[in-house]
Amino acid sequence: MRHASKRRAVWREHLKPEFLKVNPLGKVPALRDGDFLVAERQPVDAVQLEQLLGKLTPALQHLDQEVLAARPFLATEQVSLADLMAFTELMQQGPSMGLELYLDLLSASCRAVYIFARKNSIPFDFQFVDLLKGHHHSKEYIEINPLRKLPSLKDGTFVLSESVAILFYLCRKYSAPSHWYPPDLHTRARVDEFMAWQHTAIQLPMNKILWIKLLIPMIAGEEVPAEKTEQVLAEVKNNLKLFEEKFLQEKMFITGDNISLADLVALVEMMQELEGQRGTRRRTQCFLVSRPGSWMPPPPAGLSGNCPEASKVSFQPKCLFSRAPDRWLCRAAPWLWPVAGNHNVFLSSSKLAEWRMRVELAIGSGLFWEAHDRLVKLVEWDCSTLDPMVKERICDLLQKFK
Amino acid sequence: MVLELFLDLYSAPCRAIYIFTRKNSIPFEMHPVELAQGEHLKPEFLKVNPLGKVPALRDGDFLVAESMAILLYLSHKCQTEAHWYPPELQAHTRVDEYLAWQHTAIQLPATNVYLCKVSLPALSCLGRTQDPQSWKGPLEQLLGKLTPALQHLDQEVLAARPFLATEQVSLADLMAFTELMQPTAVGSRMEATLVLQPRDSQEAQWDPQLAQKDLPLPPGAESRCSAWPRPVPT
Repeated sequence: MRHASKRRAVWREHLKPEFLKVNPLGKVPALRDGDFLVAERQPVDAVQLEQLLGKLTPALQHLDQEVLAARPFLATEQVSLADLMAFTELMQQGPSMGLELYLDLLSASCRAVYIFARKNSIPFDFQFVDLLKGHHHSKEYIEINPLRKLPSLKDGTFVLSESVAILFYLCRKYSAPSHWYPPDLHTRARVDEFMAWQHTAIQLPMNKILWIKLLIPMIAGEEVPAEKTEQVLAEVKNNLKLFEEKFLQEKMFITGDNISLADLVALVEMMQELEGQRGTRRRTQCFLVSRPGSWMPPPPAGLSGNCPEASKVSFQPKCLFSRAPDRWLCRAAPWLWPVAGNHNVFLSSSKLAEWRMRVELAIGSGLFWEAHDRLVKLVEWDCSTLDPMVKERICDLLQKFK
Repeated sequence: MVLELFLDLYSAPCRAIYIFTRKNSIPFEMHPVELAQGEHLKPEFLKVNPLGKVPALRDGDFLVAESMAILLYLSHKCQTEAHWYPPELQAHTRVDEYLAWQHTAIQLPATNVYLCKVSLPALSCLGRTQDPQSWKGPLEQLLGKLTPALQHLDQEVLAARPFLATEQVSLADLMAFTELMQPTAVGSRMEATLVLQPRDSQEAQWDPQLAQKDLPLPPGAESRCSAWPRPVPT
């Protein structure tokens, strides 16, 4: 009984004189900023939230981009008291103040939005919409986006589709660093130009490769005619050449010295092609070219002949391999994977391979590979769990390729 | 230095830019690029746009392609009226959303319908006959890709507001209008023409906005404007 009365005393603190000086209404939440007092949830949220987030965001960015880039946990290589405190503290932030992102990271457009939001520490609720189970055709999702496409954004009552529009919206609303979407007229026009061109020149053909080389054979049990495959590969090759000559040229990134939305979108879409070119359900073997001064396992016997172009790639950052378990090694150097069809977008050009590496490092390898985890595991997926309606559509798609 | 625009008014995005610059009285010099003659693939044009596509813009040393980028560039540089690309975040985000979506949902299928109906049957080098019946199947298939998008615009987007993005005409409407003229102008039968039949409230808004016949033609445009529509080369 003594415990019960102690609890009751704690509950009624909002009615005590000390608190009533802060909020005469006797309610929580309440905010005091110097002499400024405000109560009621909505004005607290609306008026002060930006300021409060502005104080929290730099600290989170420091943790994300500096501390966690160097080691897996906040203090050491293993979980410690520091991680426990941080984890429980950041859970207080609770739901994302209304921003929801409807994503399936199999889709390149979704990955671009995911990586951008995470990289810029934008709080959001991840709403998983499983493309392979046909959830994008469910009644609940159609209410969000009648076009049944991913990604979608819901910010309060404002609903938005199209990854390019979502990226621009997040950039502006959360005041992302200006290099993502530069304010200079000409540089911004360059980003707009790429974002417009990539829809049909990069996104469409890269997705076609994923379908033709991996998904259709896996699901329908039948290969797409070789003539059609060669046609799509030729289109991809031509467009990548245009990408290098017109957009990348001799620069570090598309807009110059810093990563922008254009690089992010370009790379995640090229990864669709890469995954498609893995072609089969068996685990892809990998090998690494050894280089003086960096620790790397020697290539497995017999594999060095599979990928002769790998020796031409000179850029091999040590940080990817220094702490990585085996599964990271398999993913760390995708430009070295032997691939079906003797075509790998990053092997065909060392300039592209080096640009790819720069973009990954600018994003952060941990975040980049976390976003691509579902895509990388697609070859191991048991397609008997595929939604029958989705399977039927895929078989129809095969007929169109014939 | 005056802006230079490389356009072929057969192309819908070129028409959007042409209308936008003339409507906003932006001085420009027009360089006609005859797509039918393959001028977009010749070295002189590839120096302007290595992607080999129209429209393209040259502003001194600065070259830019892609209609969306050109429209946004012109609206920012020339500080056109706010309704074309509103300053409010959610309003211009709606324009961005349409401009991104329309590439594959409207532009690609509408162009394919136009090609299937007009250009390809005229090109006997492809080995198909000029019999219109042989193109009926592919045409129906291509219309099938366009129709759901138009139904979405008609039943969901335009049910909620008078224009595609906001309460006033914007870059989204301009792009949509010129794009949908492509299959409509060649007489394609489609339920989608419902979109282009003005509703009562829209008709009064469209005409004063877009129908101005007294603007002077830019240099280089006279010969092209008088030739619309022109027969497909045989």
